[in-house]
Amino acid sequence: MSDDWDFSACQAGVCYGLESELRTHEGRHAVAGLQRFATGAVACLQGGGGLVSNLRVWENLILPAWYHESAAMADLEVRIAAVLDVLAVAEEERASLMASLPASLSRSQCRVLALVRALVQAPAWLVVEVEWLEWLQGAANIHCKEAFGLLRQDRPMLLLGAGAMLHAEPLPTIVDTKESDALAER
Amino acid sequence: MLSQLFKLLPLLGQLRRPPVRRVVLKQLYFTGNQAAWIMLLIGVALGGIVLLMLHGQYGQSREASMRLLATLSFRDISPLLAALVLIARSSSAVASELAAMRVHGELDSLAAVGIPVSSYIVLPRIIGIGLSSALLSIYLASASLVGAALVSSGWEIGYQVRRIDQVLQFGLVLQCLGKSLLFGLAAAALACWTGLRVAPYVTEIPKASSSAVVRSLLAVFFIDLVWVLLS
Repeated sequence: MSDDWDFSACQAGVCYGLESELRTHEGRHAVAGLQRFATGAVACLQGGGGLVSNLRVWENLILPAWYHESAAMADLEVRIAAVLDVLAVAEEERASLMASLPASLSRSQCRVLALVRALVQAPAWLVVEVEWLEWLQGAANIHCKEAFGLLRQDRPMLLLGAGAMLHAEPLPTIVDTKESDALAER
Repeated sequence: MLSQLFKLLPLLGQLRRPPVRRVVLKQLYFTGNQAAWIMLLIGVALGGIVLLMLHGQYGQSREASMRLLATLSFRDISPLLAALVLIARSSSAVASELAAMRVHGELDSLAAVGIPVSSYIVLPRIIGIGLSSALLSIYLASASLVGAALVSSGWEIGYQVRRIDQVLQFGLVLQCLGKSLLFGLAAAALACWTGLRVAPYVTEIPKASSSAVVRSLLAVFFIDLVWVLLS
């Protein structure tokens, strides 16, 4: 369980995996453990985007950074604009996109916005669902692929979902020192 | 339920976070501001009805009727009536909103980015609805005095307004605020509790909505009974 995982032994640029989805008991425990280890510095890329349906898109995009950093709104707007530039989102679409509710967007748009939110957050850890990664490797545009490549190279990534271990290595676990000493003596 | 409210006390520090304060303001807008005109209309009608009954059917003088109305409205009727309107509008809305968030996995999504449900979802709604309840109750009670003054004096309402200090004491206003705040806090806590406890099926959303209304009604009437017994 999450208490046995040693997140401090994880390295930037490495993908760790769990064969559990985010909404399962083990998936939730893993992310909760990660949140305890790196409070407020974990971004999440979910298959469906993970946006909150009663918040406008711009509120969704700034929410994690605003909540954890209490950053100024002007600063957050600059960060969002910079990320939208990186992802080549057309200028004329931005105003309507920012003002819309997630329910009016396609699944693909929600996934792009989840990436925008993660880039705005500039996290220490990435949690990615297999479904989101499959979309990125398939239908996502080149700008998303490049932005994600840059995002994941500087931080460890936890891949969640069925088939995660095909792309990832297991999370390191905390080794019980007494047990390991006993094993060494034998 | 009281233990749930006490658990939220340490969370008050979360109000330092701008997104939490924003949710409080949104809740105040939806619950306190959007219902204000309903309360004002109900209040004017209520004041007129009660004054006509006291004066016409029970033979009270207009001054005595105004004094009785102020006592009844601020101490008993307005907090209860405001709570009923608030439960009909907001308890059901909050419970179904939270149930829908739970069914669609949005609470898990928030938790995944380190935003606790207790501080971002529950606390601001309870504070927002509690404060709104107090405000709506005061609107309703004040509007009832205006309605009664209109019925009593017609266009010479200024005469009644100048005599407001003789019919309304500060203690009554405090009672009105305290009682309605308590009603609002209880209704909001129950709505959140009901919405967050549903099983993750779409069919549970309307059930959560109606359960929240029923539980909030029961809670408000029993709190009112206890308040009356203790006072």
